[in-house]
Amino acid sequence: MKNDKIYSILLFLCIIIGWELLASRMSELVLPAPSVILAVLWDGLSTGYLFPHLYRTMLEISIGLFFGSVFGLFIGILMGEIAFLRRLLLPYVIASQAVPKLALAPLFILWFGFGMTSKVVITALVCFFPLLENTVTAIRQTDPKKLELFRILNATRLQTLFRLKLPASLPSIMAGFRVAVILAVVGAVVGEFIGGSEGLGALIIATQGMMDTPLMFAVLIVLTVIGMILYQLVNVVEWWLLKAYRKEKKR
Amino acid sequence: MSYLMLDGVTYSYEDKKQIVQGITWKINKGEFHSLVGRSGCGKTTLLKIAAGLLQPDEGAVYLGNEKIVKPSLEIGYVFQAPTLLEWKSVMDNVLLPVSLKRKPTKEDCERASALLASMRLGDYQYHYPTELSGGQQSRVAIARALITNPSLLFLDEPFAALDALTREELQDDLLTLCQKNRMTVLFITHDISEAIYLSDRVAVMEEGNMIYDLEVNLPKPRTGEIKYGDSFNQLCLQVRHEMNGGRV
Repeated sequence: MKNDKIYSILLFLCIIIGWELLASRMSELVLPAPSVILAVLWDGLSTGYLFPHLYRTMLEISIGLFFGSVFGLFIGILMGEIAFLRRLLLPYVIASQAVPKLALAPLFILWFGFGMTSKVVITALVCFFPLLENTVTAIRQTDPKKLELFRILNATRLQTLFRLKLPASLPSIMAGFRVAVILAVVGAVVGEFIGGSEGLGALIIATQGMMDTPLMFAVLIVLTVIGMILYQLVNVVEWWLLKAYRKEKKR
Repeated sequence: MSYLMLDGVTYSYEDKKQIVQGITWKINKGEFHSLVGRSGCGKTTLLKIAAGLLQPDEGAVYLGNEKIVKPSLEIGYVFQAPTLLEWKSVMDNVLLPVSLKRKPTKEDCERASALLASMRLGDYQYHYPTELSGGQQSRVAIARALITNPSLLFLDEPFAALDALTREELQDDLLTLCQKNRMTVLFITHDISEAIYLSDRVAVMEEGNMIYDLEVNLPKPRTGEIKYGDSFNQLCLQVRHEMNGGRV
């Protein structure tokens, strides 16, 4: 275990050193050295130049993730519970799953303008499906034995949903949320690629135009860190929520 | 006057032959009856009908003078598998039947604690089901069935998945609890000696019919030793003989 960590750090150092050596033989325009990128990143953070963009992207991710997940969960519950709705909506869900959601981004810019709304809608849309699908599947797969138990205890439909189906589905719903979080970053950035002047995605397009590759790399690093932090955050929430599900047998 | 009465009950699953064929059966208050039979003979279906989980095609089930049409709190039911909610503590699992009706009171909690203690699970109230052994999980399931103080208890092969020693322990625990609360019990098993050890009456079921029943006149309270006595073995042999369709 301890050795693994050391190897992991060693590998990271090797990559950085290799990168630095490789970059020293190349134009900064193609591959900037880590030292140069770090300097630009530090500059961007210390002067506050990156913050408005960072703030904007984070806001789009949060709002989009929130609405996408809430709607995905809600409609997933409805479709899981009501067979008629499931039969009615399933073909459309499958069809919309097949559409590459990011290809719809230009359309949303057309509909909702270059402002934040279009990016939030795109982000919400890509977050919607993993939640929807995992919720429907999990609710439908509730253990029939446990359903029978609730029937014998004369539980109402709402009680069965809130006290059995949803808690039993929680691990699966959290797995959907984990996917949604990573997709949210992609959704927001791609939305910004296509239109808009603020946000980290827009900044990447701008650096491309200015041929400022070191800044582009700096933004990529910021995006990676955002993604990793969000992912870890979900891990913590999941660890806390699913404590009881995961207890080991210790006899 | 019988307490539970099955009156000419038939049942068939969709498009299939009758799985329960016109069974009439009576259990007096405080009696312990067992139903033995091979897998697929309709035992579990009959139990579900008796508990009001399934509606018979013909005939009816009466508890006292009332017809059973849906599950009630008068009835405790223990499934083949413990079927515990793994996200709830042992205590909350036992209190589940109560908490679905109302907020559990202090008395409910005390009763649950007492039940768990009598099942030798006193130290495990705040553990989660996945931390328990199979036998302990089965005990929790029995405690959950007893929390509403039902007058009638149905058990569907509750000990089938347990090792022989744990099974014997649980049989004794069950007998003690049932006698203490004067409960009426219908117990399903495919283990003949288990049926005879526990019951006042043993019925043999085959292909949807009751083909034989036998009164067990062994002294009570029963202890493990009677399993090695002659009369016990004689009764086992008799039931075994009938399950073979009269052939030896």
